[in-house]
Amino acid sequence: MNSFLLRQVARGVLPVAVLFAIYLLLRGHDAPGGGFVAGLVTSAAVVLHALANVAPSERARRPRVLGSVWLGLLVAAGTGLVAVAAGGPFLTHSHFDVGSGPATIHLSTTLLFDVGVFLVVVGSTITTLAAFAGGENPR
Amino acid sequence: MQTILIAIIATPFVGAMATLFLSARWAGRIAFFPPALVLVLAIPRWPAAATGETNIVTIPWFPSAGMTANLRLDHLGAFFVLLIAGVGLGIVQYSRAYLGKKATPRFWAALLAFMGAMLGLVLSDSLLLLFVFWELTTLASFLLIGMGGQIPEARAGAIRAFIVTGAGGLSLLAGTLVLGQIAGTYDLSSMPARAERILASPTRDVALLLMLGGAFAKSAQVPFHFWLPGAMAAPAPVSAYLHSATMVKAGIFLIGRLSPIFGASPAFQPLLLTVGLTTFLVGGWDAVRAWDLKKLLAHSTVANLGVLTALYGVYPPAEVQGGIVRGELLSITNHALYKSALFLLVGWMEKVSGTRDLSILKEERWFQREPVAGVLIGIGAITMGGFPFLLGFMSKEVFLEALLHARFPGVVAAVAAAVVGGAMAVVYALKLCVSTFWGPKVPPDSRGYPRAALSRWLLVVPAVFLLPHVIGGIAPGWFIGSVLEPGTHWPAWIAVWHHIDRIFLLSVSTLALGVGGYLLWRRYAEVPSQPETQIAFDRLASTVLGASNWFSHAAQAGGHPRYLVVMLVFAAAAAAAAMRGGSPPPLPGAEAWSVDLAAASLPAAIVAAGAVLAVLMQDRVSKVVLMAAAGYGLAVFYVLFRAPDLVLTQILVETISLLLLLLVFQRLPRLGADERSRGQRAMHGLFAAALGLGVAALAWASGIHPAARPAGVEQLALSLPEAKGRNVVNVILVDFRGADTLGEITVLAIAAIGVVALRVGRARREGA
Repeated sequence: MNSFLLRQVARGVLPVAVLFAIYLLLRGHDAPGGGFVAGLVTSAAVVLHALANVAPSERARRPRVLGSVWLGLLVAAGTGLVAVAAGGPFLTHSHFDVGSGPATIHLSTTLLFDVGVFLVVVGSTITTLAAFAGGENPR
Repeated sequence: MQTILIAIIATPFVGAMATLFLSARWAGRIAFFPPALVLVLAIPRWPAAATGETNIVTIPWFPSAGMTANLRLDHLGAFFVLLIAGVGLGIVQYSRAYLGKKATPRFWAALLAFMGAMLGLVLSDSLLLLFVFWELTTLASFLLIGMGGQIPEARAGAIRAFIVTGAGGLSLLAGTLVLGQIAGTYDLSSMPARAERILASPTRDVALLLMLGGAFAKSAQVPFHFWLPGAMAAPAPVSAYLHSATMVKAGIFLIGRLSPIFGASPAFQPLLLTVGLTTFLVGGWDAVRAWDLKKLLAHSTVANLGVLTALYGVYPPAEVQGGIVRGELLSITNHALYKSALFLLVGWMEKVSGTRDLSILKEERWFQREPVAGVLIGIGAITMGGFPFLLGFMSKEVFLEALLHARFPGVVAAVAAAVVGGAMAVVYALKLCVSTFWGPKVPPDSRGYPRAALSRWLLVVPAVFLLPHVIGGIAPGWFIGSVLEPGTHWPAWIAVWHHIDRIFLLSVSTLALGVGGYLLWRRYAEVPSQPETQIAFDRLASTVLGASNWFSHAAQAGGHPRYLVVMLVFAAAAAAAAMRGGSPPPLPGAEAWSVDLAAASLPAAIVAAGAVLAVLMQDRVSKVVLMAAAGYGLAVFYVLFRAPDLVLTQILVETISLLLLLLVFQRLPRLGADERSRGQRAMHGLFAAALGLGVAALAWASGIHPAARPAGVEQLALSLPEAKGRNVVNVILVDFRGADTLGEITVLAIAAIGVVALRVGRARREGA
């Protein structure tokens, strides 16, 4: 798919979509959103971008993001292990409040866990889509 | 203590991770540190642990399910930790010298991961944790035997070992669950106190047999003994470490942990004694007939593991202290050290002489050229054969003494088996040291590596492993009574030797029988065309694979339509069953669920149109696009019901799956004419209609009959105070049901790897 219009749209959409995904990820604990949805938004944008920009070689077009799957699993499981190291049961989350008054920012390990989910979703979705988006047709 | 135990288990795993990111050379250097660090951590704990101090570290895991990840450091555990780390240190050094460039980072990672798993296994107090580590050792062993999977023999050996020990692992898991149900706990340390309750249960024999099945498979006891010789396709250091010194002792360790629990059960001791002695004889006989030096050692390992098992069957339960029977640590140390040293030395001889085939070596005179290896193999063989002045002698004496003092029917047969097995040990020990080195001809120079090309570590490491035998041989009273098993009384060296009693006479006759047997072997043995046991276990392995093939064909016959039908029928049946169970009367507020009909008619029309058109359209792309349209229509419904989370997810999932299907369909041929017969079409239509009606009815029923105690109420109430989150959907995903989510993303990751392996891997192969 090599069209000028699509390319321009995809170029514009990607950063907006990624920002939107980060927004969904951050607010996920209190409002609709979360790692899964954020991961899907990012994947959709990345795939749109990849489809629009036909790279010269097969290799360059195939995003190598399987690493993000591993990283995501590691982050999610690691978040659970932090609790174990602190003496609690696996996957017990801790919460902190930074600042005071109206400027209070609420931080917790649930966000970290969600980041892990996000990474796995992004990695596996893009990997799966990219595997079939390759140019050559078997038959 | 908690930190120390966790550090001991974690260090090798951290090392394994690190090696994966390094070059092979640096990986080999780094691999040295984990075992060294473990030794530094563990040695100071030994004196206390050896005198009976037991440390239990409580780690909650899933408290609500009664599952813990408790660790325990006691005499038996500490002994194994030192054994694993000590032998491991030597093995790392030897592997660097022996494997050279063949030692890839992956090899080091597998070796270190194995070490960590083994340490975790012997430090686990929770049976569940023990099972996890148990399976990890099986996996690591599979990777290390296969070594990259290029050699067919190695691959076959790896698969065989995996099938046998993997099946044993399943048996252990089943036994663990049964035992845990009976005992009401999964903690090994709290089970002996509940032994009466366990033994009174009708299912105790089931639990015992299942657990012992796992132990026997791991420790290569008859009838599972055949996997061990097949595992010898692994390189020498792996055989020495996994398949003689540590992993195969895991089953013995488990038996040791079980003996305070099941010791009083009538089946426990006779079973161990029978299986152990049978294994001793079978392994011994196979070793006597072996022509490959490594196979000889493997069979003799099987025989020795039989002795270790039998030891637990001899002593009355009252004499089993903390899971350790008298002389057990001595026998394990003895065997682990001399056998791994012999494996390493055979590795050396293979490098030097270019072969490990005894039918070639027995014609050649290697001693002049390899005096050091000759002396070291001699020491190892002497202790293996149970000749006096080394630890092996003590180990054999202990076994005979135990048998002679035991009171059970058939003790004469047991003693006879011990003598015959001991004599066979003498035969294969002599085969190993005499036949390898003192043949008639001068060995040719054409085979093997030049000596200068080989590292000295290949001889130093086994020499260090043999050192305790010499020390223990000179001062057995001190070595055993002060170092290995403090508090037990052992005779000084002279005392073992001076008096002539029944044990001594039995020992002498064992030796005499063995020497006679060896002479007969020299005179009459012929090189067979193919060893029989080999054929037998290949047949078994192919039977297992055949059975699993048959099963997968039976479960997965037919194409996609058939799977769909099966799944749909199940779903429809489940929906029908859910409604049959009688439902509570409709709630008074049920009509509050209804929405503005006028507003709902638009999305309803979209969904209906999409569904109907998807069936009518002829080509795939139109079908999926229409289905996606129906999906978006559904999202509008969610908007009407004010479920923003569902709206977001529905739209995104719909988009991504549409993309994926379009990408897949561009690679498929066009849909031809419908080839289904009229009857098939009718059947498919019937199934589809049944499912549609079932789901619709279920939705309707659950709408007007809300559950008596909805789970959502509790979770809504707990969301903010317990998990500090206002979005209950997300709180459930990351907090309340975090473990489920972790499981789900793991499945997702596995699916992605599967896609890469099947699709990308295939494209690459075709391109290459």
